[in-house]
Amino acid sequence: MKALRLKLFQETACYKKPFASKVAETYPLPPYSTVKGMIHALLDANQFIPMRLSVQGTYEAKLLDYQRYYFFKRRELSSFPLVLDGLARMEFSYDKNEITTMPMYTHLLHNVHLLIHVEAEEHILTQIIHAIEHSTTHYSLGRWEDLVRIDEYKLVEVRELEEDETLTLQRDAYIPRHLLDRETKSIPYQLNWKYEIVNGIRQWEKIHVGYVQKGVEAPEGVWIDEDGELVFYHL
Amino acid sequence: MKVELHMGGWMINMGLVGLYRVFEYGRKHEIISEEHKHSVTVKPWGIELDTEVLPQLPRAYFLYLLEEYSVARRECERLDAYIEQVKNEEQFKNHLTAIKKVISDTGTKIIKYFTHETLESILKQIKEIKKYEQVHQLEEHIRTLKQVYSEPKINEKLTFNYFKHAILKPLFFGQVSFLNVSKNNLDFEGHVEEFYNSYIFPVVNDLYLESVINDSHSMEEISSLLEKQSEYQLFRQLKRAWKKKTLEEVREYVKTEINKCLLFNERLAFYNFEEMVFSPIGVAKDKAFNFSWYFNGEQPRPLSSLAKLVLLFAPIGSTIYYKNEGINEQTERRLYAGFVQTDATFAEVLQKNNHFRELKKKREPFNKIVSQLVQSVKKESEYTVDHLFFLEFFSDYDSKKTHLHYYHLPMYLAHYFKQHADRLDYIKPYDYREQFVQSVLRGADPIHVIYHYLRDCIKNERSTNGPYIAVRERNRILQFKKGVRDMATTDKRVTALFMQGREIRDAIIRSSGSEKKVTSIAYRLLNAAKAGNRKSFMDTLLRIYMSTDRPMSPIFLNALHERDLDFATVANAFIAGLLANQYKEEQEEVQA
Repeated sequence: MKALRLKLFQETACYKKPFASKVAETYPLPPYSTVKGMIHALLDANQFIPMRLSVQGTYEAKLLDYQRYYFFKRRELSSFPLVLDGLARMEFSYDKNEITTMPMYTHLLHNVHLLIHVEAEEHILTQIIHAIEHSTTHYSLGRWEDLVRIDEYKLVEVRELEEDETLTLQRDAYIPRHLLDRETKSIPYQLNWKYEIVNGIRQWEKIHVGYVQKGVEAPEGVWIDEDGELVFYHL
Repeated sequence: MKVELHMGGWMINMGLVGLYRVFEYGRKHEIISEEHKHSVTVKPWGIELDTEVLPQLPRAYFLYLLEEYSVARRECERLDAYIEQVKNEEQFKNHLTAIKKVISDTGTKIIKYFTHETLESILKQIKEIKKYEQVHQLEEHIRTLKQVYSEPKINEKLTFNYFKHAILKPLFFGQVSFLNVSKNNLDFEGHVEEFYNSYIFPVVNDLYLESVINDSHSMEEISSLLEKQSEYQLFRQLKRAWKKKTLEEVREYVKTEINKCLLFNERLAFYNFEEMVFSPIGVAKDKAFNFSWYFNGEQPRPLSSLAKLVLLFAPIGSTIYYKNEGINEQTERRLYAGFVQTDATFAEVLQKNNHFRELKKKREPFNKIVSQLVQSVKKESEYTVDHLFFLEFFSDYDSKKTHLHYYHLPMYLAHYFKQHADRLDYIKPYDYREQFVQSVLRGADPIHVIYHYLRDCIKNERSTNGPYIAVRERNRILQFKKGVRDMATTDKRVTALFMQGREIRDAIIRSSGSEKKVTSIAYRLLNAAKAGNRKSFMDTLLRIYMSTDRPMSPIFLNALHERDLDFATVANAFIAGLLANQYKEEQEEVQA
């Protein structure tokens, strides 16, 4: 089956964890919902497009950024700063009873290289390529300011890995729990995938994965593309 | 009723480990009654909990904390240590001032709460002690003081104050329930009751409600439960909302109007994840509307009472220790909570964390801890290593500040620690070693630690092998990262540079007769290295070699082309050699 393979680079990125408000912790790789979000944004989609994803990548180091955050103490505000290039260089005054600020730590990954496979209907993949080639704005993955450089996009043929083939991971990867065997050591994560709005909040479908580091032997039942890159679809 | 508590993110795992520790403690000390001794069972995926045992947990929780943080024990150990020092006549004056301060601080705290004639008179008499001849009197007073500290009511009050105000409040929960200032006057039983009312009572009721909704065949059962537990505010609200509803309508209401818990997905969520539930990462929902979708200020992150209870055990599941942050004058001592996360079964997570706690209690340095926790499993004559990550945080509820550090252990580092962690012991003082190891675990280059270390050695004329070892180990780590496993060749290069430095040192001292010139050269070279200024470094180096009339080794060319070693290693190994003059035996041992 065909898939779109994306090779991405980010100088810094924070894929924020859902609970981490006071300090922005990041996942080691973008969760499926973030990648899905980027693709849906590229396509300007207004409803969910079915797809399967595989996320792999490496980062060089983790660093801390000290950022000023704005806290809205009321739901209705008399002034609301909505600017795209930050508040640093503009005069912005606010009512202290409505907004407070506090510096907080943000965890950033440094020099992130990602390899992402997207499997969807072929016309969707063609649309994504068209969107990449004709985008009028920058690409970002994670937060808006986590810029992405798209180093490669290519349609590749993906097949199942034969039982007698053994390959080791060239990058760290999320591998869904059902594919992991007992031998493979990993760190568990429950990643968001897609949501339904129930009672005014997003109820997420979770994918249980293990974060497996490169150098480990790939478990059985995974896929491989025509250039020998491993693929770990989440569904 | 039995509920399954599955492991998840680090925060919930911390809670589960804590819950298990408290239960085990209660079982051993017979706080948990005989019939509930099997109420908490370890499963590969987490814990199976029989909710019948819940009312007995608050007592076990506080007794556990009382023993773990016993102020009486801490103070007695402190006094024992001091009394040994005071016996040294030469140092008597200094140590006496210190011991008097410690005694008076603790004494004031006790007198604030209790009238205690013996204590008051001892405090007065200790003030009178001024001469070494009175040391026996002092010993006698200390013996009595230790008895005073160990009186149950005194130990209980001081220990409660300590774990509430130094650990639970600032690090984990803020001013919630029994941690609120208005509850400061509660005694032991008061605390147990408050814990029960704020945490256990809601869990018992919520779980019961869930089972009734699922199993009952008529609305009456639900109504009678709501009626019976009408002191539970939530039930009063539900009673109003469900007044004229049929069973089907109530089930529909539960499906559409009540959210599911984000941590234990199958449970109904009547609470919210926010600062008071877990303050290191949560924010108050009504003070940060822009942190939730559509400015939801009601329940942006739904949480069940069960998850809230499990999180209350997080302080016991983590390991609490002091840690120095920063280098030299900027050091700050902070209380940290640490945890080891891995994908293994719950039993293994528990065992890893128990081990971690033991090592921390022994004040083992981080390199030792990492190397001991990375247990090797022999598999087909190859070593595999566990995949761990360490997490530690400092949090201050009042200033709303959290420092959270992750230490992922990639495979190359796990292998490095397995083979070479002991070598890091030569990096002294301790602070530099900790900083070095922590940088490495963050995936960062520890070079900035080495620069500080070298500067410290020059400034304080400390001549040891520490910097050399630090340079060599950093280089080894870089090689491991590249996939090189045999260190013989690269080690030889670093040693050669170090020896060059030592030879030049000897030559300079022979010609000038003083160490000052070496120091000034070392400063200059270090500045060049730190700034990455190769030209300036090579320029200084050439001048030294010319002035000492020696041939220059071609190995220095690495500073320019970096084929075998990087510039920082070349520069720092040489500078380390320039600074090393003593401990020849130690050097030989290290090189062996």
